[in-house]
Amino acid sequence: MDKLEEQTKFTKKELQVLYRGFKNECPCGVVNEENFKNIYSQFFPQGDSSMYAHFLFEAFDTNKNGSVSFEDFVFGLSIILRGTINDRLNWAFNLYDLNKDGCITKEEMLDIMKSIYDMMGKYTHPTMIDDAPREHVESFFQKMDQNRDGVVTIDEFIDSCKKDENIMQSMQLFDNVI
Amino acid sequence: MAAGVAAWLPFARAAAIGWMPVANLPMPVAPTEKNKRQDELIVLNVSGRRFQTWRNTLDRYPDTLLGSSEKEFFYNEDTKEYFFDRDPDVFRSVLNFYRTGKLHYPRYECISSYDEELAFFGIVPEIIGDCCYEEYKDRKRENAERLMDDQEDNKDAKLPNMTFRETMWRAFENPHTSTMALVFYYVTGFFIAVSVMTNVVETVPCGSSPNMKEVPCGERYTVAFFCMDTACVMIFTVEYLMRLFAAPNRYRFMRSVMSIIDVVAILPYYIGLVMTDNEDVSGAFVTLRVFRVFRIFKFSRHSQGLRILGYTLKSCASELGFLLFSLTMAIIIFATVMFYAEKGSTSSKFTSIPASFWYTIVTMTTLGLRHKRRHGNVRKELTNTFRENI
Repeated sequence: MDKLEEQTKFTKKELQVLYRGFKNECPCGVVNEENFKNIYSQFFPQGDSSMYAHFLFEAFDTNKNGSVSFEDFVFGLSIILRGTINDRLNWAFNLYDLNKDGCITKEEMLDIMKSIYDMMGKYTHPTMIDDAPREHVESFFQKMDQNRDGVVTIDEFIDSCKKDENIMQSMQLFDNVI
Repeated sequence: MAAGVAAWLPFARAAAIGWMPVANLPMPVAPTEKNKRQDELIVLNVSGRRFQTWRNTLDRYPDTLLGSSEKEFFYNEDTKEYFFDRDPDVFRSVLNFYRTGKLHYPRYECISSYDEELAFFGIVPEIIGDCCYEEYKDRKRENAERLMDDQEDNKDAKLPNMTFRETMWRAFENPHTSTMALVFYYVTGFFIAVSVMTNVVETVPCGSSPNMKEVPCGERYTVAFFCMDTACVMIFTVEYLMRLFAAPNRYRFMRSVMSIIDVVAILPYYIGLVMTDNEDVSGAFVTLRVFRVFRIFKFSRHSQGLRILGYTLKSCASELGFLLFSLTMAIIIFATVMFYAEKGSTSSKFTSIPASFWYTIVTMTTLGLRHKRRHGNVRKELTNTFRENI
């Protein structure tokens, strides 16, 4: 656990609490995708969160072996909750880049957007119309794609996010989650 | 499940990073938890055995004794622990409920003590997990039956101010309550026996007139047997009417099995009185006399053992029904096969599938027909197959 403490930015106590919760839910020590989806759907019962949970799982499973161990889990959490702004934006980019090729295409963004809308269910505001994900993707690309080449690279992403007030403000929220 | 999932709340909040960059408006601030203190161990001392758990574990179910502030009543300042003067063995199950979210019922535990402990700790038994729920329900039902039996035993004490009708009903139900009841009990028993014996003796051949063949006694001493029959039926009718009068709930009494048996036992006589000398229905009337044998079932009131047999049959009715059903299935299958196997042969006795039912039934119950040698080796092979299967 000392090794974990060094590599992540959690204290011993926080690691203990996280591990106990983790082990309680998955006594065998690793989470597979089914469990992930299950847990996630309990937090968002009003919509269908399975697609989003799938993308999340891909993002957490850094060594691509189909299961998330406690180390993977804690690394991911540490970046999101205790990392620098750059780290967090990096992690978000990783989440969006479904095929991990270094750039986000419109199709990938559309998939992500649809999964988020699915998860929110009927409680999105404004009320969702069928084309809303597509329009949302368009406005996102307008904002992020600076050289208008149809894809968003990591630098473009980080740059545009830093320029956006709202996003920076939201990022501050993660500081006191645990 | 919910308890463990609460520990994943930080993860759920962290996952919000996914939609943050695409959100058009800033995210709302998450509610901060006030007085979020560090998790601590608390000690529960149950009759000397110490259990320790995290405070958060108990807080998962705030509507129980341990999860709410009600446990503060049991706090011992000197030893800094919560002391409960209850059974430590059952407490194990209670505490496991907080830990795992599932309530289990241990088989060796007495059902009433378990229920008491659950009531004390404010846990509803309905949340018992599926694994133990059947066992719990069975034991509870047995206990309820035992209590009902106990109550019935206690009813022997004579209550003052009972109406004549209630006295009569008690006399009928419990013959030991008074001498009259006992006399009545034995008299009816005697007459049931006489009636059954009469039915039997009626058919015995007893001596012959010189020019005719042996006649059964019933035909020889018609008048005597008729008088016996009438007397018995009189007694039974009177008994039935008295019971009907004394019954607290007449409608329920009329629907009960024993009263139906009574009615069936005396009805043939009255029907016979009504329709004598009518040739067409006399055949039916003879068949009706068969029902007189049901008088023997009236002995159930006199024999506890017979009643128990009845209850046993009733309680495994579904199993017996299934047995009957599977036998019927097998009979139909084999009868069909037999019929089609012998269809070609002209001298076959199996003219239709129902005709082969008889053969199948007799073979399956291993009675065996004594059949003459026939053609049809197929049948022999099939017969051996049946015998091996049963």
